[in-house]
Amino acid sequence: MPAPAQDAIVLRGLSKTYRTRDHGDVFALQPMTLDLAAGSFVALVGPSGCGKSTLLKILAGIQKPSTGEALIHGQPVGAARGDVGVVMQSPVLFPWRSILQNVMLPVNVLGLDTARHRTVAMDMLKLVELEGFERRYPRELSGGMQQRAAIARALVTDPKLLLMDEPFGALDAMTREHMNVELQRIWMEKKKSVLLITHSIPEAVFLADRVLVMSPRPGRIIEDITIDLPRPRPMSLMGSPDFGRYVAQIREIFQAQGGLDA
Amino acid sequence: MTMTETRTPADAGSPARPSRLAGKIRDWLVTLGCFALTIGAWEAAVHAMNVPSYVVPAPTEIVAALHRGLSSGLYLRHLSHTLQACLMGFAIGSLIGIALGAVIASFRFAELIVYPYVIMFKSMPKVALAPLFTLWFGLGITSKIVSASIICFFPLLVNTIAGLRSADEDRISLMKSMGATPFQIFWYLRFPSALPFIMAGLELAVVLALIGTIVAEFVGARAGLGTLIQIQNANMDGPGQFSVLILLSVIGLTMNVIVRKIKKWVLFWDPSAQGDDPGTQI
Ligand SMILES: Nc1ncnc2c1ncn2[C@@H]1O[C@H](COP(=O)(O)OP(=O)(O)OP(=O)(O)O)[C@@H](O)[C@H]1O
Ligand SMILES: [Mg+2]
Repeated sequence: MPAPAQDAIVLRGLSKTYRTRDHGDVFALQPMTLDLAAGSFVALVGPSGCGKSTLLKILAGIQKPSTGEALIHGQPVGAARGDVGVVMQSPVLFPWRSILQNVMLPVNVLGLDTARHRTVAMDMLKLVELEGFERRYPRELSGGMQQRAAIARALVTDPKLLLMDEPFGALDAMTREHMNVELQRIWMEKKKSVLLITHSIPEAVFLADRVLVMSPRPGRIIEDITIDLPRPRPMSLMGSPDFGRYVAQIREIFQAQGGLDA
Repeated sequence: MTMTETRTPADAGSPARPSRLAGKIRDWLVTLGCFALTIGAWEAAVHAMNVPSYVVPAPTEIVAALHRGLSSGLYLRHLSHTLQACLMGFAIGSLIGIALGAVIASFRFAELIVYPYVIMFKSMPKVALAPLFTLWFGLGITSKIVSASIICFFPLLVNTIAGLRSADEDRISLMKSMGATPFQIFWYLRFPSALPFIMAGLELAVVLALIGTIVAEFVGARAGLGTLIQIQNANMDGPGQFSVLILLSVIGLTMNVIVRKIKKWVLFWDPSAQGDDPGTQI
């Protein structure tokens, strides 16, 4: 059993070079070393194509690092089934499964108690405001609704670590803010660790304890900013001067890098 | 003036409905009328030119032969032999094709061992094997079933392999991130992704199964519609042969329609499977 105070994510000299047949090697991530404490909420921002999704895919066990290693809860990636919930940049639903069945997929894969988790799945659908859509099929839902179903799916097994790649990108501003507040609530209630990739600097500042800023490709972490704002953070916090200062600080780092991505 | 004009679209809606129905009726009348004309011309030409009925029989003679054959029970007896062999061959050949396709797509060594033979047999006209099957399995139902299943086997093998490999990369990634086993990825993702390909294969195979059965019956069988056609041909029974041909196309069409209905039911989630396009079949 891993010790309780274990880091959620540890990276040791982790780098990634994609070897492609047509375009040669793509150096996506420079070697990085990083510890993310269990229970923390970390946001990762950086220009498009800098390797954010690559890092997330390595942590999710989808891609293999070229050098170095990644540990999740002290174990190599992929060792603990069901401890990690992943939301990818696109919804990736299964068209032959109803929305409820899609949300239940991790439960089926892990062989968990179906009857008990069906209630959990319904609760998660309620949480992402998809109540009443559980028997519909993905093609009957809008892009934003599909993405919310994908979030419900990542939450259904109550994983200790949530890896989210731009999960709210397809949502309208109102829903997005609501989802931000909900995500903060879930995180505080369930003591999860979250790594959130986002293009929105205000979203990163609003949600995270720590904002990691990446350089353009090949990506590396150029700034590690601790957001010292009280919790729970209400929506109104976004108007406060402290909040504005953090946003301006990160924006300046981007501009110094020669491009603003948000 | 503007007031009265704004009302017209609402009024125009009501006569549109009956006119669309009338259009449908007119389309049907055109089709049926042309059909009747063709049949009438055929009948007249046969009589006018004194064509012997063993070469080209008149439509009335064909209908009479069909009626005679059906009411005497002769056609139904042969039909049941043909249909039994055809359906069993379809089921067996398709199942083996799907199963072997799944094995080849899942295990690389299976591909290395089996694929050379598949490539070799794939382009061979399978009906040419029918004489061998008669030699090996006799004049009963077995050689027909083997002949029908061999011809069904290949489209399903090829389509199953292609279908299992068509699974979306992101969905595979997602399942891996959940810690799914290769079998779970197969069962929850690859197999459903292959279903559109498999259903297309079945649609083709059901028609091929009938061809395989009839060819086997031509080569040698004790009973069946293929055998019946050969007897009628030897007896110079033109109307009989034509009536059996009509029966065969009705069977082929019926089986195809049934498979298409099943396909729509199985692929309820796939909008591209819902269209009705009889023109692109076979
Ligand atoms: N499978 C792959 N094969 C080859 N190159 C890849 C692959 N996936 C990503 N890359 C390359 O790696 C780099 C980083 O890609 P990545 O998807 O991690 O960027 P990102 O930071 O998530 O960008 P965005 O914000 O636009 O989503 C890009 O240059 C991309 O072209
Ligand atoms: Mg990305």
